[in-house]
Amino acid sequence: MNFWTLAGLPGIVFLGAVFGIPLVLIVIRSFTDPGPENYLEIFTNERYLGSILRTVGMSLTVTLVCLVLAYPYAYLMARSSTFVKLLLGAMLLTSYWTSSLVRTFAWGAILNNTGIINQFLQDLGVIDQPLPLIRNMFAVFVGMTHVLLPYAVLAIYATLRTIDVDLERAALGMGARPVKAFWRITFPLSLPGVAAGAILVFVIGLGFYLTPMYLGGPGQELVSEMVAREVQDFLRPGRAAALSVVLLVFVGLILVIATRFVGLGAIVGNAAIDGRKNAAK
Amino acid sequence: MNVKFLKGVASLGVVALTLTACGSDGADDNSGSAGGGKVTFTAYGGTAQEAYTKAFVEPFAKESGIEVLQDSPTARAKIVEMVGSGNVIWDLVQSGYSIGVEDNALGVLEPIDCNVVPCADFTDGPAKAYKYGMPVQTFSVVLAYNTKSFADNPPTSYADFFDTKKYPGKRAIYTGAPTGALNGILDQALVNDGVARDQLYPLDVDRAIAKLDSIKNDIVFYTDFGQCTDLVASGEAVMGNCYNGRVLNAKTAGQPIDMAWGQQVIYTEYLVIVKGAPNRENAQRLLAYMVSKEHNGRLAGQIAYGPTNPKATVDPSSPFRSALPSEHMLDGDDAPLSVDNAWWAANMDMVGKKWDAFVAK
Repeated sequence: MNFWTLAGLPGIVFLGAVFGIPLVLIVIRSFTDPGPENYLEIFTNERYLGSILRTVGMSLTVTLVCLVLAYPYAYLMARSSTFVKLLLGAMLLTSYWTSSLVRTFAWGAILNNTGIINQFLQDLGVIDQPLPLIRNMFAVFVGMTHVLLPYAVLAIYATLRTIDVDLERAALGMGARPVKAFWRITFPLSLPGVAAGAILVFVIGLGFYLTPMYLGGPGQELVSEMVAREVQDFLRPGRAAALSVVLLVFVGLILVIATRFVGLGAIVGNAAIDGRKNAAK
Repeated sequence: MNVKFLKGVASLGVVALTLTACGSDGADDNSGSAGGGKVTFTAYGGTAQEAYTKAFVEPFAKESGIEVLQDSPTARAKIVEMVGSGNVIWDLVQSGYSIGVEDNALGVLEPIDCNVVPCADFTDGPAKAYKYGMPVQTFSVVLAYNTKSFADNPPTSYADFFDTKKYPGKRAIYTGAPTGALNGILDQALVNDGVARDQLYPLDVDRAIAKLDSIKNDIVFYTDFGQCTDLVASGEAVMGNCYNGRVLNAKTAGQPIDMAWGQQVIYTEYLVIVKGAPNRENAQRLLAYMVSKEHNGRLAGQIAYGPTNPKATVDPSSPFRSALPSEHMLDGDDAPLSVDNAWWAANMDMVGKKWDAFVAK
């Protein structure tokens, strides 16, 4: 055994014990408790299918909006003076490091019928009845976007800061207008970061539990909530396991497809290196 | 990475599994020799478990010399997993009816030992002693209302809950899987739709849902019991089907909330012993202590949950006494309701499907 295998051993054993073995057990259980009909039930019962579609749809929407919001933010961070960079970074990281539980509850206080927005609009006399901002998919969307946005910004920023500003300058020097220089030079080079951010947000979003539970409405459960209900309320751990496996396979497929376009390294956070590699090509 | 290395990892895994197995064997060695040892008590946590600690656990530990460990919250799924894997760490558990107190349908409970536990005290009482579970406390679902919304003419009964003209505003209603029999809202809906009380069961679920559908626009659903008093006290809803103990806590904390007792739904909570519990003898003793006529009333000195042993007495000076379900047994149309647990256990899936469809609509 060489040095690095030895050094990696504790991590491998740890992950194997706390993640690998349980994962195998869950897969086995999804087929045996009570049997493979778990999967049949999932793919024929509209409650499960509905929650899977809802989860994917919500995650996609959140991903798209996060990218649109994150790109300009990351661009500003990458190209600003040190002071602005610090300011933007501090804002981002403060949000990032604040517990998602706290942020979710804060959104509750903002979006409630008696919350800040509705109270304000009612006091102004703009509306009579409170707007339906809470206990629906809109609230879940807002909450999830807030929690996931920093992942997109950080992934895109990591790529943008490695793109040599001189490339853009060269384009400008040769007569390209700034807009063209951006779309022809900077944007294509930053795509690995965009892809990394998109995949991070999408995959993490698929597993969101707390935010949809607290901000969402009844009858609009996401997959994670269905899993919890199967275990806690209906005592059907086998079916919960099958639901988890479906979600896991889906995530696996996404990653396989994604790695055809960007390196796996980019997805797990090595966007900087890949960005440089691509820039060098 | 070579084959030898993989073998090494595999054998490490085996070692880890063996160690875990030894751990559970070790727990068996602690099983109760009388007058010592320990016992693990699990309840739902929060203020209720604190009340149990003061009323029962601490004095029991002092008198018996048995060390009482505590865990929370009770979860049926956890008990099923513990028994299934043969790694039981809980002994005595506070739980609802649905764990199988009557028929041990899940096969996860030890029978109650009536040589140790005073089962006979319960023979003529309203709360039955079952083979696998002893009633330990009562609580009820009351009509909680926001005192600012209805300062002059507060609601008094669930009849008012369904009267959205006289009492406009949102109603907070519990949803989620109907393991708690939906807190009796279907029963209340039927009674206020003209169904005679003695003909409630079998429940006409469609009719109950139709009644609720008539006020659907005024319903705010909640899934966690703690949300109920929050929704009502904040004004998000003007009424809700909350637990009496939690309403009293919120009221005592100065929130604008109070409760009405008309058509309260009285529930009973049980103590059960997990099958294969490592300290089951001590668990029987702690259980006996909690439900005995000498001690069972003490809980009401700590929280607004009443005794189940008909021979138990509540300290008249308890500040919680006025909010005990038993102090508000109204007559006629406003009399308390109680759900038919056996019917619910048999029909949970059917109700669950209809209820989910109603909520999602």
